[in-house]
Amino acid sequence: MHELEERRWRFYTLFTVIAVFILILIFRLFYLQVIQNSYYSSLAKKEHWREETIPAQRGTIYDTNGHVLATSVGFESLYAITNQIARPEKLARALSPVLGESETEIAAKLATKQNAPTLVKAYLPEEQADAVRKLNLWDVYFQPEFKRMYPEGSIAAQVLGIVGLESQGLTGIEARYNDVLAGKPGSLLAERDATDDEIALSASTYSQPHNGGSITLTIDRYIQKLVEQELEKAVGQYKAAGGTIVVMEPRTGAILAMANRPTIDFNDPNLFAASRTPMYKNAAVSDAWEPGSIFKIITMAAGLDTKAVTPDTSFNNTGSFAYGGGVVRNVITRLGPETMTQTLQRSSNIGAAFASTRMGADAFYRYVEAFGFGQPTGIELQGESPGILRTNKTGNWYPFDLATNAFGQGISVTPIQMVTAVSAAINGGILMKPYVVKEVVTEKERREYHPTVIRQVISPQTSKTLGGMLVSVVELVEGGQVRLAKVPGYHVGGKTGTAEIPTKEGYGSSATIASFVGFGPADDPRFVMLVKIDRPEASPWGETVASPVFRAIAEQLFTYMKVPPARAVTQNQGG
Amino acid sequence: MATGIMRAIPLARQRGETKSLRIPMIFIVALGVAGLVSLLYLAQTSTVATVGYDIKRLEDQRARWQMKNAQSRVKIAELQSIDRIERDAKSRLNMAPPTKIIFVPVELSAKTTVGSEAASSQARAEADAGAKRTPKESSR
Repeated sequence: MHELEERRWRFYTLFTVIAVFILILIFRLFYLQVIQNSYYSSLAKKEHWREETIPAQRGTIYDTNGHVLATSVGFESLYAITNQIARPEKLARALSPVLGESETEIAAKLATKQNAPTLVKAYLPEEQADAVRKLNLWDVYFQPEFKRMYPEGSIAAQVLGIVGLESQGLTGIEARYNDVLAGKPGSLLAERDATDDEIALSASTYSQPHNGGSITLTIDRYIQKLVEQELEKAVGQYKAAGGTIVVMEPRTGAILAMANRPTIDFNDPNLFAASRTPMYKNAAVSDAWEPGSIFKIITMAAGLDTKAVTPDTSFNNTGSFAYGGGVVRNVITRLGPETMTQTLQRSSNIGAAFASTRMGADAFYRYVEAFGFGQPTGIELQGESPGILRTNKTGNWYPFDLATNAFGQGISVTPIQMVTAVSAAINGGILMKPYVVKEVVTEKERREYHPTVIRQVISPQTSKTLGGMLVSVVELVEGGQVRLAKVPGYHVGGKTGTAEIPTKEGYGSSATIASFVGFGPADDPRFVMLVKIDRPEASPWGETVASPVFRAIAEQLFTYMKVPPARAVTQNQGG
Repeated sequence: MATGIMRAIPLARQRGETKSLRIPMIFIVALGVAGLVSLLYLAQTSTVATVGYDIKRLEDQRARWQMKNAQSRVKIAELQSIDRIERDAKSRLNMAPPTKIIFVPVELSAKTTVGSEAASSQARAEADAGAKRTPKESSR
């Protein structure tokens, strides 16, 4: 009996101990799972649930024939959380032969001891990434990243523009069409295991990334390359500070090539340095200059259209022309009668002033504005300048300006304005809106851009007459000397310009901007080209510096565009 | 009567024993069913998890292939670039820019056009005939 009681006592004691223990456990569980529920569940969520941004692929920019100018390609970049690496030297030793970097270099990156992703090597080529994968390393991981690539190199760099480190367009087409090109990144919110992989059975929220659209430009890579080569050559040859060439299709306003020097190099490691920032701008649309004698084309177009002058209208050149309180003189004066055609051929400032004053300020400036000067052309490129135009209806204008503006002094224009205006002058008189984007394709739509007529500026007849006068400028042979812009076998037209650069003291500086604006072939122009060379030291003249560049490009353009020669030249070519 | 009583006890006992056996049996069966269900669930969960990881692995693989594809496309574009074509033409094929371009004027009179059309139709006819010939005939 006593033994039985003792057993019962033992049983009850054990039962009580176990029950108490279980109760403690239950209370503890209750405390953790019910009372502290929100705290621990949020902690767990933070640990296991992670939202990952899935980057969208930035769209591609093509040239007019579908050749890739800029595109984004995914690469795998190698990262490490450096404060979690137990033996950085061992890891560096393993990675060194695969990454092609010295152990010291890699070890230095791994020694940062950061609790954040540290880049070990960016944009690994596929072979390198595969080789690293085969090493089965736990301390490093891959992160897919997009890199902007330029298969044609840095051609049309300032037209295309720069993409920032966060994959956003900063300048040029990249910035102007950033909303089209950038796309929309997606995201994945999922529960992850210890290896950071998604847990298959767990719920997840996935939003698909939408890749950026593509843009096709009117730029032709062949013409662009040709233009850039010749511009580079000319800037070097004439020891110039820089230059710009724009080639436009006069019938449509499509830009076939646009190049500036200095320019940017997409592979420049210091591309984002402050010293490179001035080169980001596209001088062809943002830099205004006093055009000088090439502006006589506009003056003559206005004079002919108002019928104030004809090609044969003559005046007596006395060596100077007094008007509005000032006196106009030529650089090289030939005294005696001078027709308007000769004004263009000899690039006579007096003749141009004669024409502008004969038609009057109201008519002259009406045409200058109708040709698009003093206002942006509306081309889809960033930072376009309207130029500077003072007229008799604005302030700060003097009557003498009517005479000087006629030969391109006291007025500032941009290269794109000049090319657009000259295109209108020789294409039948129609001012076309210049454009550089031909097509935009996104997931939702396909937008095609067509030539846009702005207005009829001069009559087709005036345009034809002016075209003929400009052909005579290039084809004039004086003293057995052929003009340097002349392209053998073809009729081309154009006009040189040698613009003095104004300073606060006036036009005393010897520095000039040499230019030539021309078109070809004369009977049905396929291109209008402006060549502008800034501050050439070897020679200041447009005829010496810019005309040969025009000729060199035009010759190859005719072949490329399959334009047959105007006359049989096979005998001369000799074979 | 005594016999009845005598019988009644074993029957009650029998019933009691059956009852006491039925409950553990039900419990064991339920436990077995629950175990089987759990095992099935575990197996299925494990299969789904494995398949999930397989899908993830294959998705990664697909992404890598797509990446390689895109890299290859850029490589093609680079190989087709003007710079590379020019470099290869000059260094590998020993080509040089043309120093002169000769245009050959071709006069196409009405007679020539008709003649060339006739010639081309004859060539077409010959080609057709060639296609219809047996290999033996062709080899003659």
